[in-house]
Amino acid sequence: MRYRFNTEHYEMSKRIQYFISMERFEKARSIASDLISKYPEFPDGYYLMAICEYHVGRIDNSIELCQNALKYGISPFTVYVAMMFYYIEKGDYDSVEQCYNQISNVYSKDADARALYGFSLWKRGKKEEGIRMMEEAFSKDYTNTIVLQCLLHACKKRGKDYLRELVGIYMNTKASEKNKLLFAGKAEAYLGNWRKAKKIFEKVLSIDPTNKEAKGFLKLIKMERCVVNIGICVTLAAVFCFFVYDKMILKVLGLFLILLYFAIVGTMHVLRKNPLL
Amino acid sequence: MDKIELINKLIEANPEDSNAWYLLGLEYAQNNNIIKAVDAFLEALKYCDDSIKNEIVTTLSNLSKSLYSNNKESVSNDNSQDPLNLQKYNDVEDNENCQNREKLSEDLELNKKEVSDKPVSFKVIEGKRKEYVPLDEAKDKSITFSDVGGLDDLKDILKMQVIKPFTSQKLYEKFKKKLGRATLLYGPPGCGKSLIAKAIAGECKANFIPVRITDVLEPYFGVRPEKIKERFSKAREKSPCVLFFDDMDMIGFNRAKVSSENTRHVINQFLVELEGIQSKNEKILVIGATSMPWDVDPALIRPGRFDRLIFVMPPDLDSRKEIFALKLKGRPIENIDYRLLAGRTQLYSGADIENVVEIAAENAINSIMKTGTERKIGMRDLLLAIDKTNPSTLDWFGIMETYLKYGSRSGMFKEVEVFLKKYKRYLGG
Repeated sequence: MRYRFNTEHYEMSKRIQYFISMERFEKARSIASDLISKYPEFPDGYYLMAICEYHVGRIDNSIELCQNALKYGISPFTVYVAMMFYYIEKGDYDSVEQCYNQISNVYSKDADARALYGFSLWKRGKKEEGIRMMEEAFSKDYTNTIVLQCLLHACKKRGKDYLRELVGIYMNTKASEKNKLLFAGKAEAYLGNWRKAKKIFEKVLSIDPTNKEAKGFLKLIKMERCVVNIGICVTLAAVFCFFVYDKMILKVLGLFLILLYFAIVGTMHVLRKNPLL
Repeated sequence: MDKIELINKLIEANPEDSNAWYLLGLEYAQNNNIIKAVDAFLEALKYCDDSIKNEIVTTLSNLSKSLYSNNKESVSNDNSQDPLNLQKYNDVEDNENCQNREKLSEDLELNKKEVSDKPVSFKVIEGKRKEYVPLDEAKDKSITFSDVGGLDDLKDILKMQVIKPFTSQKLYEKFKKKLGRATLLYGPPGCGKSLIAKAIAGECKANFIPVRITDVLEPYFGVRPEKIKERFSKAREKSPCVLFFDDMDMIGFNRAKVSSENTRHVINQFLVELEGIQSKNEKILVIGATSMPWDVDPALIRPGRFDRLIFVMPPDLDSRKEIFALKLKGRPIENIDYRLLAGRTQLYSGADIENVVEIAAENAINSIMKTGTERKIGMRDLLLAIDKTNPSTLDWFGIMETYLKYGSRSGMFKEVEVFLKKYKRYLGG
């Protein structure tokens, strides 16, 4: 069955896209569900439903819906890129590679796909190869927000100048103000400037109080402050136990408390380096 | 005049021929015999079908406009002369059934008051076009505050801040106080914001024009500024009226959250229209409602725009009692302690209470099916249902707390802050 423009299903799909752009995924989902039941062979319905499902946290459903969209003849490129994204989220890097191969069979390798594949390689431990691919994607399209996001995450150890340059480029893309702030916040967090990052994430929450990344980061900072406070108490208690009491068991307890504290500080240090894992 | 005679013969042969009446009206209008033309058009309207109704209505409204422009001076100089328009009203009233009679006399009263502003005969057309008015626009006029259970504090606030300024406009004009400020109702979903907006219209005895996202959404362009303009024009035609924007967060979405430029134009159009109402003191009350105030563009909630922010809180104890009584009405019930139920459902929205009642009814039906003995819905069913559910407003308050903490809104949402402090223990803060 062929679907033409300016008909009900196209109007419905545009409406869904509008709600998706406003992050009203439940609303978009209900229209997408209508669209699928009315036009079960219209592939865009499945693809749009997949986006909604992903945002409400049902990645497996998203992947299944993408496969349906492919079955009914949607342009494969967009769907494969989306699927790569979902598979990365799931940690299924073999499937990411399969999607990438499918794309490269049909299209010349695009920046999005290349960056995502590079990112999956980087995640798998093939750091150099991954970064090389992401940089190739960057040279193809330096304003692509997906490419920039991948590079920011993978090259966070490259130093202040590199990250600041990425932030500068991202600020000139068409991304929304909220996304720009998120990007800058992440960069500051990777650089270890937690105070700056905190301020930026607070701004993000003033625009979007439901943002999970910003909330997570602020929670982490709160936790760190708690650890510092508890740490002082634990150290004092440990020193007291060690020096004041003669009993062996209390000395061991004191040592244990000190070691426990160092373990917590070590964990915090790792989190500090990767605050947005 | 030959034409007119010919058409008259046609009408004699078939007095219910709407086309003939319409043609006769056109002929009379061409000959400047306006009274007869209006008569003929009204007859045509009586017998016509939907296919030409619009055409007749348009012609009639054009006629009334031209008549108005010709007679404006004489009408405004001497209201007691009004031989044409008001007489027409009476004629029409005689022909209408009893249901329309009341509306027409109301319109007549309105027109008498506003004769210097509007052509009176236009109202006749409005009455005839009743079936073109969307259902809820006509129906919603009858809803008043008496239909909203409880929430007495909120009703008082609305009476003083929204209804009184709208109904006592002369007092405001005397003090050169601008009227046209818009009101934004916000609060958790399911707490009756839309119902309250309808009740405001009913209290103001004004027309109610609801605008939903689907009314202004064009599939290929998102929300179009032209559509917003259209709605305001419609409101002007139907003034006095309450123009109600449901889901304001989607119509005036925060520009900081999207990369598209389109929302900028929509918000600009909104601001232009609101400015227009304010400067001309038009009899339009603009009300918006949202359950996501954080998603409304900050430009829209600055002074002079949607600057009256009114918090529609979850129902209070008395309201919850009333809602329980309302939802259980007509169901088989026994020994219901409404006070206890209301006390156990702190922060529950109206929709949550409805859900509790549904679960309780389901429990009762299940037990009847299992035991085979019939029984009524009792307190046990309802309390069990309450235990199974949580207030859906909790998430909303959680988000609002974050928003108030990090967004510098300079006391705009003070009522929520007070509410959060009051119910801290329920909210887990």
